[in-house]
Amino acid sequence: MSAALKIISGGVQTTVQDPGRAGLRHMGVPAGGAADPRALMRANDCMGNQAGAAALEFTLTGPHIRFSGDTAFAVTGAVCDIMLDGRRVAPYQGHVAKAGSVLEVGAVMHGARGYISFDREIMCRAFGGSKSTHIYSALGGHEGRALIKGDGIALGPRSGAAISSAEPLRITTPHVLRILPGPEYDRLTDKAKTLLTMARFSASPQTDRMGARLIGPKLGLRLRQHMISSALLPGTLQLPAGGQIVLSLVDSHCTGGYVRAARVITRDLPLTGQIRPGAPIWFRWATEADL
Amino acid sequence: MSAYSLQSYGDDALLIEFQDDQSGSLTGYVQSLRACGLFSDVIPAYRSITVQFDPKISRETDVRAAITAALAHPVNVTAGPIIKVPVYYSGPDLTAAAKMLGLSRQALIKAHSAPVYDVAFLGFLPGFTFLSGLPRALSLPRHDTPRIRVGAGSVGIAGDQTGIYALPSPGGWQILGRTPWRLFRPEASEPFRFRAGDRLAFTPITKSEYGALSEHDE
Repeated sequence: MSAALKIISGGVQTTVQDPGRAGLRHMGVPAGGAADPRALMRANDCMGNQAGAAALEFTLTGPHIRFSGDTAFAVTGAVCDIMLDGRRVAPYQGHVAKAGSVLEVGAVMHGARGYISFDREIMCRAFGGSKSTHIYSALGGHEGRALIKGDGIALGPRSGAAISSAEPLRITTPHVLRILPGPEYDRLTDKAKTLLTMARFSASPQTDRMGARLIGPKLGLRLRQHMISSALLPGTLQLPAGGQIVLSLVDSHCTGGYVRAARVITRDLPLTGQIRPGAPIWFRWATEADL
Repeated sequence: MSAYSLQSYGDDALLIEFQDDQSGSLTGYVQSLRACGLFSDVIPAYRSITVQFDPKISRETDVRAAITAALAHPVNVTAGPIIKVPVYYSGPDLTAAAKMLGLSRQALIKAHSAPVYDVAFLGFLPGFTFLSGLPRALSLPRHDTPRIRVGAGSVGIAGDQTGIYALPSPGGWQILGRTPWRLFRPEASEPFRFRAGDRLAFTPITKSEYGALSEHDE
């Protein structure tokens, strides 16, 4: 039997996300998907779901949800209080909610984003083989946007898979992100090159799935050469003329026109999904052993 | 083959930058790179192609060798027919842009709709169409402060590039007009109206023609 989720409150930004739609960047469509794919995978593991299943991704404050039918769920990722009908339940662990039960995911105390998986398929529209919500182009998810009070999300039948638990992820702060020089690294002044790995940065309040503007020392550019539009990939430390790094994230534009000073290595990209405004960030050069 | 440089862009991507302006002629390289089967994405831009690979499967040295081989033998691409794109030239920046260029509105419309443009690449947001072939005399600076919202189908100029907004978004381009066509239809089996390598020309239309042809909601 199918069921539904009734959204009592959406939190700061709750969207449907799966591993994303790879291979469409040449059409201007970012891969998107879960900002912390490790946490999504563990949420699906708890439900016995396939790794590609969609879940709800919440940001800084979780949603409050009423279940219309018996449904198993698990919450992973950012550290927060999880209450089922007023009783605290454990993260990284499957629980069964009865029809009419209310799940309240509270304010995130550590990290930025968490995932709620279900033992039922989230029924919503897909594009490019993915249900991931891309807010800027209104693709995927529930009407291509974040969930708000009053939304009803249809769920498919229960999978019948056994629910279990998963090893919790450790979200460590300050964030230490390993980087490699970007295509325009040589345009940085010697001082900027030093500061990149010697200075402390932090994410400004202007942080979303598209990118994080970083607060830190201004990094100077040696050459004021004209930049012509070129591909932009997630994890890029872009350097506009103002000298403040903009770190591109999972939903970033597919092309850009700023200096690409450096890029976070693929192994550390999932960490960028847990950066919250104010969180300290250090960059360090990746070594051969890191890759 | 034209000269190019090859550099790393993180541990899962390589950036190929061509020395000279390759306007419209990257498609053959893009196709031969795709044919390698090594890349999850091959992303052309005006003067570059970025390829993404899986570092767990391919080593960068092997990828570099494959790129060198692919670029030595670009696919021979035959140019398609010229797509006539209707544009109602009445954009919010048309008058100011004509003044900046020292042209009448009519002369600007004529000059912008005269060339055959190549779709250089799609980028920014889904379906945003970057064209090459803008006459140098029509170069215009971006707005210092981007508009909060530019409508879908807006045709504009920024620097020496011209292009079409596929979706409503913030934007800093000088907007000359609007095409009634929807360039990105996610619900359709062919969601993208154009792809890199297409050739197109703008046909000025009247307000009533725009109204009759409009595929936009607003």
